Amino acid sequence: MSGAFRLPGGGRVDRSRPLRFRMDGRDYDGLAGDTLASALLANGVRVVGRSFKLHRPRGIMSAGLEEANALVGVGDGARSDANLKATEIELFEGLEAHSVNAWPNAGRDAWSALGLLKPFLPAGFYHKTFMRPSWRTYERAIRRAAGLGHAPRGRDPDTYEKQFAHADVLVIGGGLGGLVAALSASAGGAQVIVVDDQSELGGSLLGHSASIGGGDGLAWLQGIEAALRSRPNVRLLTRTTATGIYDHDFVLACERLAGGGARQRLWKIRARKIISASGAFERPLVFPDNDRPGVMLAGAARTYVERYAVAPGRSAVVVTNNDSAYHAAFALRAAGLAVAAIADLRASPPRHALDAARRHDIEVLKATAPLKVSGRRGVKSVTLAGVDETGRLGATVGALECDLLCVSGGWSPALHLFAHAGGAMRFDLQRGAIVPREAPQPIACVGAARGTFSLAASIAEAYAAGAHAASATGHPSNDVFNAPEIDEWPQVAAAPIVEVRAAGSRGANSWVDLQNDVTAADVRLAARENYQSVEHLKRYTTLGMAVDQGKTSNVNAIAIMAATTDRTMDAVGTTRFRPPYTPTTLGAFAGRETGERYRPLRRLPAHEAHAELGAAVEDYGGWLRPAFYPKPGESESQAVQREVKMTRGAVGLFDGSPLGKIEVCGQDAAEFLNRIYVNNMLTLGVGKARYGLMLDEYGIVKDDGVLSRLGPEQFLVGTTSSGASSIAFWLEEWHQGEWPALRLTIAPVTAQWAVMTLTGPRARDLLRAFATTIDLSAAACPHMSAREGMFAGVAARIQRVSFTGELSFEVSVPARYGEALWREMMRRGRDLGITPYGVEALMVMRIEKGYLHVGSDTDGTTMPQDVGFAEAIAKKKADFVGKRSTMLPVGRDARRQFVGLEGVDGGGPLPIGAHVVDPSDVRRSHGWVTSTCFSPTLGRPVALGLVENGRARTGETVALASMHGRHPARIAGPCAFDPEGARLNV
Amino acid sequence: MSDLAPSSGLSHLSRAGAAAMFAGEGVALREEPGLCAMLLFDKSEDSKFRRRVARTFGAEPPTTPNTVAVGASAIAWIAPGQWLVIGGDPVADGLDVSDAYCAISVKGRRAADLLSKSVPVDLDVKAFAALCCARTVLGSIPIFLMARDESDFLLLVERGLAYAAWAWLVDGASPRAR
Repeated sequence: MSGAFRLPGGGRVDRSRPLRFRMDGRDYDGLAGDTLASALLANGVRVVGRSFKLHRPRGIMSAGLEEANALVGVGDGARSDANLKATEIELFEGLEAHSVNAWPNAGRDAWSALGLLKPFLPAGFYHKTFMRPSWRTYERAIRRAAGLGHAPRGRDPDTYEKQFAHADVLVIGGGLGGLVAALSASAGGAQVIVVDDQSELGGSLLGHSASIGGGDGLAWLQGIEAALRSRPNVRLLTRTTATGIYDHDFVLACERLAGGGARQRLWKIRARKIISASGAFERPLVFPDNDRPGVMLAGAARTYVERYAVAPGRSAVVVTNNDSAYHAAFALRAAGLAVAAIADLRASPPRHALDAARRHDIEVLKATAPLKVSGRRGVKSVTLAGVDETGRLGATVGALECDLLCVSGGWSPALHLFAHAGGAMRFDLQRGAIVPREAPQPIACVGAARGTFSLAASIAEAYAAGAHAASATGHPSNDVFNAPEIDEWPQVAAAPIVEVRAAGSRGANSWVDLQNDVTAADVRLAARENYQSVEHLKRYTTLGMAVDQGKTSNVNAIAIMAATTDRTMDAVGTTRFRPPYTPTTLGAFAGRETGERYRPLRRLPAHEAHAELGAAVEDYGGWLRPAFYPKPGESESQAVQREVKMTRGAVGLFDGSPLGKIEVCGQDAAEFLNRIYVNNMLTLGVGKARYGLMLDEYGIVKDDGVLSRLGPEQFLVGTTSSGASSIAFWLEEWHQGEWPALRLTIAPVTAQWAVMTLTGPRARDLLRAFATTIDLSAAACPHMSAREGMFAGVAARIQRVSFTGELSFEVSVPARYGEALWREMMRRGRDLGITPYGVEALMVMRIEKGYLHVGSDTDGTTMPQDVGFAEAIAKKKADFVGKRSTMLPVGRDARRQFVGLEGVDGGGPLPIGAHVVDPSDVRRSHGWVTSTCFSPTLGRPVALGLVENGRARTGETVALASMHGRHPARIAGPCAFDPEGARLNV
Repeated sequence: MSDLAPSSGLSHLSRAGAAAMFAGEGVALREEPGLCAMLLFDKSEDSKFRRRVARTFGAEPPTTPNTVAVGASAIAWIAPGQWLVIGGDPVADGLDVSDAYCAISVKGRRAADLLSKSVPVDLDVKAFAALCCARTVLGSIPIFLMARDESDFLLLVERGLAYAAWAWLVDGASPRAR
């Protein structure tokens, strides 16, 4: 047996597959096909949660993802999920769930005494009641008492997958409208994807049976499903929730998997046409005590009976302002439940409804509504009173005993996805609902999602929408559709009553948003305090926030606000729905892009060789590069100091492969580069290399590098490692956008070449150990030369440039030879004392030399005149990018200039980022330290910085202020070591 | 002759070229080491260039974006006035970028499905038939992708990211990611 409230027959549950599960520490039985909610109801569990703010006992109020009450946590440890809705959890063997906002459990909650404080906790209470001495005094305790479940602390052990898909037509919703739309959409061969969040297709027909074509509606629809399954151009995805529509018709849908592989799959769908057949949500009515466990949406009660074969109670009273709840009443009666009465808010319900009720032997009380509901832990009785057409309650009619109160306040189209697509909406009085208008993206709503509640009209509308989408995407068909006969009630508008209340009542016990404990009185309070826009109302009262995003409360709140402020619904507006439609696991968005895969880093051609040397590898601008090569027992700083000393003393080997390389070739290449760089590139001779500084349009230093002219029309442009790809785009932009007439090509070739830099006084000696066609003597290949030829048997480029101040050769070979060349250089350099050095030692050496590092020593305000290029600008007649900006007044006055800084009291490195201040007036910053190191060469700390008018202040003593105190320092020229360049020009 | 031994971005997996079979998943991955890749540029749109290319490679450079012409080599349109030549031997006219890339073939019944996990381009045979190509991404890794037929894709990935791309594909083809 799967619970005392399980009906003896019917339903779509599998009675041959019993399942055991636990809720709040108690074992229960359920059936395959149950949700956690239906299984709990089958076992007679009434209180499943506590409200967010006041810890009031709450029961299951819906049968779908609009559920506001039945929030549970599932699982434990790293696999736990917080705040799932019991109504959307498919039951499985061994499921363990617990209520989220109660202690020790939902039935006996120690926090429930908070309910007594309700008068002190109105909307916005944290701005009022708890302001003395300050909100912080209370914040911790309040946050503990309020709230939802807890996020798991451990690392998520599950995997998540992603899948791109492309469709001519995407249909959201696999119910009547969705499948009929898919039928016509796919008839002409269009690629069609249908997504539906349930475990089986059928939509509302799964729980609300209807007669279509003289037979069972669901069976009729399953015939269409079978036809769709036979079409290879149709993909039907169940358990897949469309969570958001984004720009360019991009739709995210999350599929729940159960197959031992990934847990969820995030579908990233590009659709040319979108049809939303997402259905409608039933609205509750707002009346006193409407949050009692046992108060349930009428349609949900019917779904529990018809789909899950569960009686949500023994004896029901139905309260409604429209026809749909009559069908729910009939379904309950047919399943053997007692239906004490239908209380219809309307004074004259339509004839067809009254006749049908009489046939089912159910009494209809006209112009009647609930005045009071008794039963704290479950409905015991409802007191009914007369009600007028404005919702004002009158004389008491009497009390009816019942344990289930079914309510229906009409139906609201699920417009969330339509809103994501930018759709506009309006309130339709006739349909009593907010309905879609038009959207900028190609999305069409059909059926209940459009406010069309007639089955026959839905089918016609859906078929037409599908056919239209097929034609619009170039796949028309001549299929003829025989619309089925449907015998259904004519559509009658719901009574425009959202709330019923007695004269003088503010609605303090009438709940609008059950999840956030917002009452009708709170909405009125917001109106009084002038939070009258729907967006203000939401933020002031928290209405419509949290897990259900107000799916059952938004429209009612807008209606109450409209009535209170004497405006129309449209004037109050609708809240802007944003993705996701319903809470979605973050893991699904992360997919497999976690850990190392989150941001793949580039490996050097000689990566393996570096690893064998024990290199400490770090991320430098997206490349995994050796930071240093520690010997056993060496610290980072010891290793770096050794590498610098050995390089300056003999020869060091550095892997410079990531340095950006762009080939710029063509008749106008020189002219083009001359317009890009501050430096004159027209006068650069073939075989020569020249430093180049690049600015943006605002005259700000953008990048730098060495340019080599390999031929009259062939330049190799060097960029910083991090600028390798962006500078190629930058050059393309200027070429294509500004100077398309210049004849040249731009090709980034960074990855094509492995660059091994030999640095140090013995560098040339080591190169001589290799066979080469290039004359590398000082006379034939002086500093700033660029040569091409054969080296070690391969076509190579050798540039004599230096970022260390030592004799230096950058040997470039095709990347495939990079690893072998590194190993050969290490092998042949052993006798010369070769030392591999990493990025950190390189940085020390360039700081000693005062070489600028764009990005470290410059920022978004640094101009060329700040870093020593005033003369170059003045000398260059031709225009170049950013030149004009350098001449503006802002480019001239009291600028921070690039200087060296020396410590004057010994000690360790000067603190990076420390502010340069006047020792006698430390309140104003004159600049800061941009690069710093301890120089093993000089035996003292050296640093670089940007200091106001720094170049004119050489020799001045300043203080460096940092979190670690104040250091005396002296302003100096940038170059601290070998300023004459004697070591370079050998 | 060179005394330096060549290596690829995947040599640490196998000197002869990395390979991985996922029979159950209907996918096989194979590195194609040493594949020649060259860039051709021509903004002039004159027939001389087209004739020269046809003579050299046995096919005219395609003018339809994202398509490939096949002669002795495959000539892929990658940008206006820019083609990527794949296969054959380097020629003087082209800019050799063979070493900038690592070539990986993704073959099998479910090759398109595997790629579609992380390639945003529509790889359905209707949209991306044989001799279609695209510069796109594999997850966050930039790639050049070309269909040789509906179950055989050639992927070029920047050499430095070859291992990341390989590991990503292997992971995606493993049953745990099904």
